[in-house]
Amino acid sequence: MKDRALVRLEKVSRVYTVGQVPLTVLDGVQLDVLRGELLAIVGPSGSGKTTLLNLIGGLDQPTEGRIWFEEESLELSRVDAGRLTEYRRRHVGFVFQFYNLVPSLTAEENVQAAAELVEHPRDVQQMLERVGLWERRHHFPAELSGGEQQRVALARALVKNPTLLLCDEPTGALDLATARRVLRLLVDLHRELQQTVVIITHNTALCGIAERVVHISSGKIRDIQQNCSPIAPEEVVW
Amino acid sequence: MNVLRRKLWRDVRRSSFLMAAIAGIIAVGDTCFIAMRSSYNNLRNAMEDYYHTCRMADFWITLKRVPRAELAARMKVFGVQDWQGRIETSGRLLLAGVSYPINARLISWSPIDRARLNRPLLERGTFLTGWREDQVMVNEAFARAHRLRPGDRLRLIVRRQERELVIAGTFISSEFVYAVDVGQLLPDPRRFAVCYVPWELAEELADMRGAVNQVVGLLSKPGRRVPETPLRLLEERLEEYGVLAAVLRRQQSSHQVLNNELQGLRAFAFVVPSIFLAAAALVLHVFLGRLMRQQRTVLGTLAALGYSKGQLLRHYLAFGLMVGCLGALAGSFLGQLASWGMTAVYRHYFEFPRLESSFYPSVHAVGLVAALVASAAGSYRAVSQLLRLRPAEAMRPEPPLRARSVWLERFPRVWRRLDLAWRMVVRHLARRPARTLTALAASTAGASFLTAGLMFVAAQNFLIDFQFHRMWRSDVDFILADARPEEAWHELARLPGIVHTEPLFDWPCVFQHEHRRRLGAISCLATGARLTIPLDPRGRAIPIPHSGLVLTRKLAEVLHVREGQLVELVPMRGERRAVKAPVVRISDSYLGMAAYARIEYLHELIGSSFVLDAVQAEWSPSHQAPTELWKAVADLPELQSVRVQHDTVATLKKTLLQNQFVFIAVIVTFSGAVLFGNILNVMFVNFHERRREVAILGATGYSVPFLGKTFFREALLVNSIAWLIGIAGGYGLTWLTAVGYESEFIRLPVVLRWWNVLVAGLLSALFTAAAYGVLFRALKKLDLRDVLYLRE
Repeated sequence: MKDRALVRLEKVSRVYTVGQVPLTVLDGVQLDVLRGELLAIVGPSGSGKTTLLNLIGGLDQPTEGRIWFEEESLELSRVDAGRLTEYRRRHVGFVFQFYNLVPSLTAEENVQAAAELVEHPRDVQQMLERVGLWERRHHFPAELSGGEQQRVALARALVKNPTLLLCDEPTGALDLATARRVLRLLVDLHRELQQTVVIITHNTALCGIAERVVHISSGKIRDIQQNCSPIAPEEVVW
Repeated sequence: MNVLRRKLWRDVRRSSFLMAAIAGIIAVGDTCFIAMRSSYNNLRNAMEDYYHTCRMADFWITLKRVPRAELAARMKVFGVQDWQGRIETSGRLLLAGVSYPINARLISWSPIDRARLNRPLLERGTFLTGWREDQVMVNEAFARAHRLRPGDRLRLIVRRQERELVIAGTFISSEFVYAVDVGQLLPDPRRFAVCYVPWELAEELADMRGAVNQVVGLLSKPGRRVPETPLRLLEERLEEYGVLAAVLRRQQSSHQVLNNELQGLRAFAFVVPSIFLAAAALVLHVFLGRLMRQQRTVLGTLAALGYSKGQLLRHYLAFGLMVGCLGALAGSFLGQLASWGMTAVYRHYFEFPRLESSFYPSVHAVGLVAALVASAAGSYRAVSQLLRLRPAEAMRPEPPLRARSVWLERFPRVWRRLDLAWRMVVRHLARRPARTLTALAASTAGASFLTAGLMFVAAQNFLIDFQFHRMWRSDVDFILADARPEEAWHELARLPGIVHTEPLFDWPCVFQHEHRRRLGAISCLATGARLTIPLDPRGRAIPIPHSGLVLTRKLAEVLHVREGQLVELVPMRGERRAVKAPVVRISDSYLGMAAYARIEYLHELIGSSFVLDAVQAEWSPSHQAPTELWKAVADLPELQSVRVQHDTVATLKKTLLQNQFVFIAVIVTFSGAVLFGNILNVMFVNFHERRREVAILGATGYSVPFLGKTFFREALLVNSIAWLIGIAGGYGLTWLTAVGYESEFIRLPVVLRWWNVLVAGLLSALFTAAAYGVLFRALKKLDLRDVLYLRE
């Protein structure tokens, strides 16, 4: 089951034009994101990680190459904006480095905002309880700590019951102790819900919890490692 | 409640002050629209009902004299549905306890068919009965002004004949909705009355036994299609009886004023709200542009969550539409109130049996739609611009604006003289040219409206000064019952308190040039006359030529005649032998159409001896309350009427001054809504965008006043440029208004006074300072740490 690709990237390139100069951010990337795996994409700043995540998540489209969402044989690189929105709505959950919660909505409402988009969402209360924030559901983002905000973001991403959970530097703005709590939650939820999780990070310490690690630099995949014995989040050190 | 809707409410609450300011501009636009359009409907409905009920005539033909027996045959013209002959003349009324002269328009009343056309509506008392000759009906406004009741008595003087009459009843008439005496601008019911007198009495007073001197008529449907045709035919058929004037309803003085008001209301109900709604759209565009940039990451996140572009577009457009709705609601409420007020003012000037202020759902619906369209137009571009970004791009913070030198830096001498705050101001304005231009356009709309309003006040004052102080300079005009030799002049010159007099002879004629013709009169003045002085466009006196005519511009335009050309004059009195006279000069006038000639020249031209039919007089400055004079005048039966120009000007000034206060208050409030709202919005948008910059400068040690200075100067610069452009804009608006309102009755001068420019500039600066006051409070409250440690 885990060997089947959920998202397939074939010779994917993404070029941005900055002023008059073309800037190749991704260059011929070939990658399968496997169903149910916890995949880490690691690389230094400017290596193209976020661009890769955006392409997988349907937030952007490649300038060259093809991306397939295998479950529906949907070619993400070709479809129009409407189909991409539909794809994101039904299949993708995002967790961002700076949480990106809507400041004018409470914790509960932020999660509700995502739940309203799908026909069969998970229970909002259950999700907030799962991340340990039901008690603080009426608080606005500005009234929550960074770790709490990221947990709300996690609940928001998962309440849609997405096929694919994409996390962009989910611990990048957190201290180690808070980061461990968030990672524990991520790993537990991944196991419980059998969801495909992609974490991108520049922090190699996080690679230990992943089942597979993709190393990326200068827009190219340099190496893919299989991690047969992932460590517990509490063992993560940086 | 849907979560996005909840977000919308909270975001709205957070920006409520700015949104209210923008809604205020929309409200002003909608208020103007609803007030003017509702008043237009009120007036039009009242007029149509009234005209229909009273069978208001379509034409009036005034003749020298036509036998009644001849009339039926002469009036058989295709297109004429009904007609009625009547006697119309003028006279003076004497009331116990009233010293000043009262002029009266007298109309004959037939006990048999009464007034079939222009039927008066009885207000109090009874109509005239056939068996009493000493009765009179007076118009209700006159009766009210003098607290007269049916049964009261008054004395009537017409052509040296005096009668004592009993008031049978009071009436209102569709012919006199706007009841003004000849040469007057505003109704003055104390000094002017309309009276119906028994037929036999009218025949006797006007010397019209078996004859009439006016025919009023209704046209049939085909006749109304081209009303000029039946009227021309009638003129031809009645020519031998001396047609003095033939006017269609649109040229009838009362209807013309009413119609001008209606046309003006209709045009203004479109133009003025358009200016405000366009300004609101521009301000909203700037506001939402900022909001969208502020929510760029939120928007990207929502898109990442799966919200479609349509959902997001609707969500953000809802901001603009809410502003539109809010403005429309306030506009509906205030507009309805204003329409009640305006209609109440109209009730004061126009005499209708029923002039009600109604609620027109369709007008309010159009106001709402217009407000929504303006707000959607203002919002759409700002929203759609950001929605065009891919979500991944939207989630990244906006790239900082490229810093570059501005054009002013190419002039180092100037640039070096600017302090840091001014340099920042210039660079900020240049970095966002689209926003600067948008803010400038909105402020220009406000400044143009303000300037136009102030220019309108200046125009009214100029008109009074031009017409009543420099052109018509007499204190009192004595109109004689008929043409008299020179002795009559000398007799009037001896009246108590009179220090200077000049003879006047009004010679009615048809002016003809090529195929164009116009009924009018030549005012014949004495050589060196100083109580009526034709003026050129610059207000300089035009001496009355030894030979030839001076025509006012409007008459020259109507006849298409230039200086040096000849016009043919067909007299309306005596032998109708046409003569030709050259047009020597064209003069300027803002009221009516006139022609001037030297009195002796005209008499030579028509081959008659010296006669006059009016005397203009100047009274001694010590005779401010000339009771003695009025007493002497009352005993002069040869006088047909007395026009007290002195009182007319005083009343006019008083009325205009009262109206001007209200008008200026409204103009300042309305333009202030735009100037204040726009500049407040721009200041806050800039403030939010430059919070980090402000915080860094604050942390560096700059004081709040210094930080505020850049925002204030920026706003002041924008409003100052807008003020300068607004002078041209205001001039343009006034010119358009003058063109739109121009009629043969009145022309609005376009004058720009230094105080217009100064007051507009001062008010503009005042609104800028008020907006800055609000921003200053926000600046003082700014917590530098919050901003400096804000996560990007």
